[in-house]
Amino acid sequence: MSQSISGLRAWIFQRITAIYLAVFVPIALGYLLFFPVTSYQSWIELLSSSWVNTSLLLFVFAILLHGWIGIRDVVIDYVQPFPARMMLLVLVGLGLIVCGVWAARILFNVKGVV
Amino acid sequence: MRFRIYRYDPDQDREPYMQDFELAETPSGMMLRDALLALKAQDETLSFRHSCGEGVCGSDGMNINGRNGLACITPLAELKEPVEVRPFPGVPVIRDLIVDMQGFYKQYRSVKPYLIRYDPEPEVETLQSPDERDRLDGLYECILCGCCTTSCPSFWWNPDKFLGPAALLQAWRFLTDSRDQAENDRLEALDGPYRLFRCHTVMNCVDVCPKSLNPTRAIGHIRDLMLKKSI
Repeated sequence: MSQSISGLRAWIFQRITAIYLAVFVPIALGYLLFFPVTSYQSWIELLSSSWVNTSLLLFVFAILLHGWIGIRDVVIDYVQPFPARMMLLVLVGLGLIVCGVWAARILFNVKGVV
Repeated sequence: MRFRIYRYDPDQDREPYMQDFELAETPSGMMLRDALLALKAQDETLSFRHSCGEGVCGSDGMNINGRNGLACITPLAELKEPVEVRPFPGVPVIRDLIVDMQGFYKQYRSVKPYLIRYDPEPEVETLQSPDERDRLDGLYECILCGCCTTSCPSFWWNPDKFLGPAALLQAWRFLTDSRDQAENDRLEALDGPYRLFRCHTVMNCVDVCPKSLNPTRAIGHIRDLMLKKSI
């Protein structure tokens, strides 16, 4: 992963995902402020809209990719010994993948429920 | 005026220490380099590089009260006492304020800081329009003192892999030169996670440059050009 997403490509992905996050997060928070979700049922209803579902899925993907590039940058800067660096990156990578799969499962299951 | 100066002689000292100095007379307009020369008269073992004395040669770069700068153009009047003088951070110390700049020069050389042309040599000079010439302003003035690169945290962490602001400023200086024909090769050599992209726009380089140059902006230009070329 660090070979395929490095240098220019990592930099571009970081910026593109940042733009998406900067647009999505205020809109999502604003929406939740004006239309508070109070029950489990209303969460299901909200998430069953394919717009919400897809944009949320994109949000998860964007924040995971953004986080991966950012954490990888920090690790490359500060963690010099190769074994420690490798272990940290693998742990972070696995953690992010688990988060992604978990979030995707939730979002896809909502679609299945309705 | 009181000074605290970093001392280290690898032949005698087990580890570096700070030595206190006192200078009785500091006439107005005195620069730090003059003060160091006066202190060297007190203790002739004090070692530092210096040459032109007017901010042109870039020899007497050092860390002055925590900030990189050229001693010869740093007025004593601007400095808080005791003036703490150390060698550049993040590079090996040879002795006292003298540091090993080999790594810095190696990175500078690696950007091929000269015009590369593939066309046969022309009969006359390769001319530039005034606009093309203007693009070199703010780039060619670099004196390679090393103040920027040795104040860059990204260079401290990866001095062998990250080129550092001075070398990257020169990379852009030749990328944007209308006479140069190696744009693609230069850009290709800069890609990858380290050489250019370790820059996180900390901007220490801009803060300390004694020539008021802006390496961060140059690095931004290189990224933009890479982006344009890749789409």
